[in-house]
Formats: sequence, C-alpha cells, structure tokens
Amino acid sequence: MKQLLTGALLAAALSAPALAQTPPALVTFYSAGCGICWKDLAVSEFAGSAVVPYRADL
Amino acid sequence: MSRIGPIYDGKAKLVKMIYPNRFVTLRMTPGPHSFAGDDVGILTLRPKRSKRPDLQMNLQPGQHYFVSLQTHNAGVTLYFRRLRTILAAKDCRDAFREGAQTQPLQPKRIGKDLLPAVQPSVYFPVCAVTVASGD
Repeated sequence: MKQLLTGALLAAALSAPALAQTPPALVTFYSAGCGICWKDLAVSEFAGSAVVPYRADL
Repeated sequence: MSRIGPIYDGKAKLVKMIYPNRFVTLRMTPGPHSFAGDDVGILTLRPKRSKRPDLQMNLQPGQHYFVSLQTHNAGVTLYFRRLRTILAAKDCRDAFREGAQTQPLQPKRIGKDLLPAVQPSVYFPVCAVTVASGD
C-alpha cells in the first residue's frame, strides 16, 4: 500500500511539470505579394474588367 | 494582393501592422483562436474591424499553422474602393510556395507585450521534414 502511494505521488510529481510545459502552437502569419498594388487599381480601373489586372505575385 | 494592416486575435490586437512581403511566427497557447484583419477604404483610409467572419482555428500543441493575409479589392471606383482583409489557413507547402521570399516582420510592428512570443526566424519556416535513416 505504501509503495502504491509512493508510486502515485511520484507519478503525479513527474507529470505536473510535463503538463505545465505543454508545447505551444506556432502560427506564421504572412503577407506575400506587392501590398496595395497601384498598378492593379490603375489597370483594372481604366482598362475595364476585360483586362486581367496585373498581378506581381503570379 | 497582400495586405497592410493589423491582425486581431479575438478582441486583442495581435500584430500592430503587417506589411507586404513580411511574415511573423508566434508561439501561441493551444486551443481555439479567432483571427481577423480590418477593412480600409481608400478615400477615408480609416481602418475598420472586418465584418467578415473571423478565421476560427483550434490550435494543437506542437503544431505549426500558416495563415495568409490577402486583400479583396472591392468597390465601384478608385475613390470608393474598399480593401477587405481575407485570412486563410494554408497548408505548409502552399504557404512556403507563396511566402518563401518574404522577410521577417520588424519588431516595431509587433506589440511590445507580444515580442516574447515571437519565434525568431530569418527565413520563412519550412515544412517539417522527416529524414529517413539509412538503416
């Protein structure tokens, strides 16, 4: 009985730090391309919708 | 188009401003998160919190997630145009293909409170590769 109790206490002591050190999740936010492409706005604005806007990231 | 603007996590502003061709990797607590950007009108240049549904993600411990920020170009004319932020979760391969040549976001664009949570990285993070042993 004493051994069981000791084992349980030891297991609890070992698992506590493990729970506290849960690895974080990594999140990468990125913005690829040219930002506010004034070329995009200009071409699509003045040439009409038939023209495919310039896309720097294509 | 890419996006210039802040990133929110729920009501909190996570990143003050993210610029084109930039990336930032954050260590975040696992669990549900709700990311969003904002909308900008060209005429007013007054950002508003996006009315679009946030990007809901349930982050798992030890996992790496990628979120792209893009702009939806809406409006009638140049002056009444509205730029809406679209956040999209991406597969790491797609993210690397799109963002491999982006640069790290400058520290001044991140809130001071959040700086300790930044995972430093000079280059865009690559997908985790399992190396097969020769045995």
